[in-house]
Amino acid sequence: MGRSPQSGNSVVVSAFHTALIHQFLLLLLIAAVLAIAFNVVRTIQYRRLEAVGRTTFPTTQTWPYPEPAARRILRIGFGLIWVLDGLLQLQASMPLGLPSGVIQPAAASSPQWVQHLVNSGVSIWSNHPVQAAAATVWIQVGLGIWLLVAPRGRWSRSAGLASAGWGLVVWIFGEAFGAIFAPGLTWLFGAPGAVLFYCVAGLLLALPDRAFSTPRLGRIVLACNGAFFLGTAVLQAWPGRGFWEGRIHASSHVGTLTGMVQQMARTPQPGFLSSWVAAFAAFDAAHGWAVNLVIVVALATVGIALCTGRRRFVFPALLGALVVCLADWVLVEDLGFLGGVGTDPNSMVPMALLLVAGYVAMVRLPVPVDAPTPVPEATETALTERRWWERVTPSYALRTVAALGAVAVVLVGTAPMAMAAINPNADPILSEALDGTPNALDSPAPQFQLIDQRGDEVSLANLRGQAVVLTFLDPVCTSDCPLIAQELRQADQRLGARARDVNFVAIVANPIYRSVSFTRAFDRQEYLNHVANWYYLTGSVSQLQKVWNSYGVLVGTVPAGSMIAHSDLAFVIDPQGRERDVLDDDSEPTNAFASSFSSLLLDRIDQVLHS
Amino acid sequence: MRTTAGALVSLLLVVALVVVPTGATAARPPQLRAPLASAVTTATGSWAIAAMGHLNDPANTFWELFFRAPGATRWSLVTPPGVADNGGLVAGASSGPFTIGFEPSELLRYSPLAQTTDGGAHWTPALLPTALATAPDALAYEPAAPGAPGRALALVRSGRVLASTASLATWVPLVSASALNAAGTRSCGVNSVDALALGPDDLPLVGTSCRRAGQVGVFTQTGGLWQSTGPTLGGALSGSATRVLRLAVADSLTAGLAAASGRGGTSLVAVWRPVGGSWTVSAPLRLGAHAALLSTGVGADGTLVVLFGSPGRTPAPAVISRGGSWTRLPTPPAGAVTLAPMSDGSVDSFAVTGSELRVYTLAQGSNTWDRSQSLAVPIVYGSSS
Repeated sequence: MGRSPQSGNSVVVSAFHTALIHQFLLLLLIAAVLAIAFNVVRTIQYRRLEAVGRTTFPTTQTWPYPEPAARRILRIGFGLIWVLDGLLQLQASMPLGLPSGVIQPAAASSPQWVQHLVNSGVSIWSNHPVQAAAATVWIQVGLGIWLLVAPRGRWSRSAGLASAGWGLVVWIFGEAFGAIFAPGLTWLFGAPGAVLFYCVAGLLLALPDRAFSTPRLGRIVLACNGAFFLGTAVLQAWPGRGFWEGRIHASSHVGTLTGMVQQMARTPQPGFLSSWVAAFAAFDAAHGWAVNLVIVVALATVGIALCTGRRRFVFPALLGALVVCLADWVLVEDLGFLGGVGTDPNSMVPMALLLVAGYVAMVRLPVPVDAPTPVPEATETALTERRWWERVTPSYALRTVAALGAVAVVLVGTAPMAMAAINPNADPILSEALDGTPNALDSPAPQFQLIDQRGDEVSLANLRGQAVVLTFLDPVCTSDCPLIAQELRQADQRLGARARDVNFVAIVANPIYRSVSFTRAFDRQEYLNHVANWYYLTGSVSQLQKVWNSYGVLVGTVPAGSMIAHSDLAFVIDPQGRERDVLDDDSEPTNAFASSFSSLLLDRIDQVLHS
Repeated sequence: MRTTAGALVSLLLVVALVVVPTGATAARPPQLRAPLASAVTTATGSWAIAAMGHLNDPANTFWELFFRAPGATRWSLVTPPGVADNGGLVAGASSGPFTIGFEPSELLRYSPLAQTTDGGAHWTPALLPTALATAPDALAYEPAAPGAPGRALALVRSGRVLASTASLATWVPLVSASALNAAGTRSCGVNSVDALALGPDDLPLVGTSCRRAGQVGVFTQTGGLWQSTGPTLGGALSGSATRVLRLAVADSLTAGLAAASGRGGTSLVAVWRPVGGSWTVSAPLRLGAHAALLSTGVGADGTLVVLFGSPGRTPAPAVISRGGSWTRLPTPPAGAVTLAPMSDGSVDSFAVTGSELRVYTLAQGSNTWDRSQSLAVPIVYGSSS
């Protein structure tokens, strides 16, 4: 018990790569279809234009303004970040490593209700690691491409909204609300969560263009950031949170910031970066109070300046904020995405983007473009009444098709993620990752005749005509056997009406504690005493030994307070009494694993019943 | 106005009468508990239980049982095979067979038992269908004898006492703390049942914690009725609440160890009563402010030996013989986990480092612990996980 598959488990990694390749091929197919559709539309457009005597495609789209610079910064900046995040999800350790390496640690110090909420997401991921990890890749890459390529208007605003929506999901379930409910909250380590900035950017992108036509939006964005900086300055200055100390009373204990940076310096990363981070940790250990004073003053000054909304204060504050963000990103957040399960570049990059976009929105307003040269016979009314082939430019059409492709990429991720969310049963891959794939057999199952928990004689021959799942359990085992019993019980429950065609049989795997009183006690403990198709069989030591030998099960007595050592095997026997599969079942004490093993078992039972 | 005041006074009086047992002050029983590291010497030999292995890792902490036959000079490892004992072992010594109970650990929810009649060479399995309480005297056993059918008692984690015949085949509820209180034994104000023993004629003896100051909770069942038979503490301990930590019957002598806590802190007192006689109560042994008991041992003649210590301080041993007073013993060599009082008046100290056991003996009247035995215990790490 307790053998968890490592995050680099080859079975899972291979399945992850296979899923990605399959989905990529599907996307190539979709791209091909879209390319054909694009050419068909272009052909139709050309023919229609030709019919009205025009031989060229429209060249100008009718927008009153060029895309506001601030909006473009947000769109391209966050589009690229989403693509980067999606690519980071390609890391081999993501399927198994994300819940234990990222999500659960993020929620560990949060209140119970946050952990409960986050765990519901973790259980979806843990039950379907390959599906969820692959889905996340496509959702995030798709969102990024959508933001980058969508033409202005509804397509682009929808991309912003979708970005905010997925960002919210990641912020809640992946970042545990950016740990804002946990003690020790600090801007330096990424609070209130990088993805919250994605959400804000997404919402800004979802606004109509006219929102960017006055400096008001920029001022609001900067003022909100200013208030945020002021709040973080107060938190940073608050005594008793460990930020004023570098090293605590000359002991080996270090302050909060030093401890965190030391930890970051130990993650796998290029040597030069590690040495920078380690050097800063050492500096903070020696000058903790001064470092925190600088941080507090910087945050407060930037915050106040941003809140004024005056350009002469805001610009230097912006520069200061960018410097502080860069320093924090490199020296404290350690770029955010190194170390094997990094999922994003952390909070400083999106925050800096938001600040720059806010400033640009305040100082650089879009200038109305000159009215497009009217076609000779067109009036304003005629312009709006033009048919699509008269107004859609090739560039707009191409970007629309590209946006459709991006939406397809998102859907290729969303669909399996939605399926994973509604399927409470774990995939068999977890069990296969730990115990390997079942070995196919095709030989007569060795016969046995033993006593069940009710005191009745049961033989394998009696059970002919029904499938049998046979395993070996020690009734006083403290670890694996209760887990295996629960896996079998779960498989039985999931069989539903088909359970009448299957018997679950366990044979005692303990030469000492083997009486019927123990099998009954075990059944009561595991709530198996009312399961009609459950048989827990025992007999004399010689009878048991004969069955153990015939099935190749090793049972050994270990001295000095150890439990009996025995093989954890499960055999699937078909209704004709032939062994068809043998499964290794060295269990892991998690619901996901139990569910996974029962899924694997059900697959094998289904094959046996239908063959 | 006067009516309201009168009603309030009456209400307060009623509350006071309900809360405080008549003629006594209510107090909180001591937090001190007896650890599973323990030893017992009977006419059939000495038994000692010690935790070994990686003691900071429950899955790799293995409890071992050692036996020394009367007249022998060496201890043998006799831990019964077939069950993981990481949860702990509980001994049920008797004039005949020796019974051991396994504290369930990890996913096991009931307690396998094992019994031997040949000093641990062979064991017969038995079953307690629920979990044994974590107390060194949670199990008591007396074999069948002429005129007495034999009996077994088990204190389980729900706080109830179960009883079985000597066959250990069927267990039925016998009593609980609430049943003792309901049986009119309010002179103690039973808080919990903490120790069991079987007296002559298979009469059950139940040791409890008492909320009533100065009363030691020992109960017995005669004629189907439960009666308080425990001693009353006097002097400085008369205002102390108590908890029975050990209870043993050997050769018609009942020996007990109780903790008493009051304003002056926590003390240990030893109590003895011969069949038909009255209780003898020892002078108290004062423990430090945060002291915990690390091991207790009961000898065949009612001798009690304890090892106690506070965090960060060297453990201190003390011994007391029937009717005597507590004597501080020299500090045992490092690693001491269990002390065993031997029939010849010596005390054995079990020192553990991983899977290595060293036994040191303090001869009666001596001031030095002499190494008497070393034993490599074949612990298989990782076998319980």
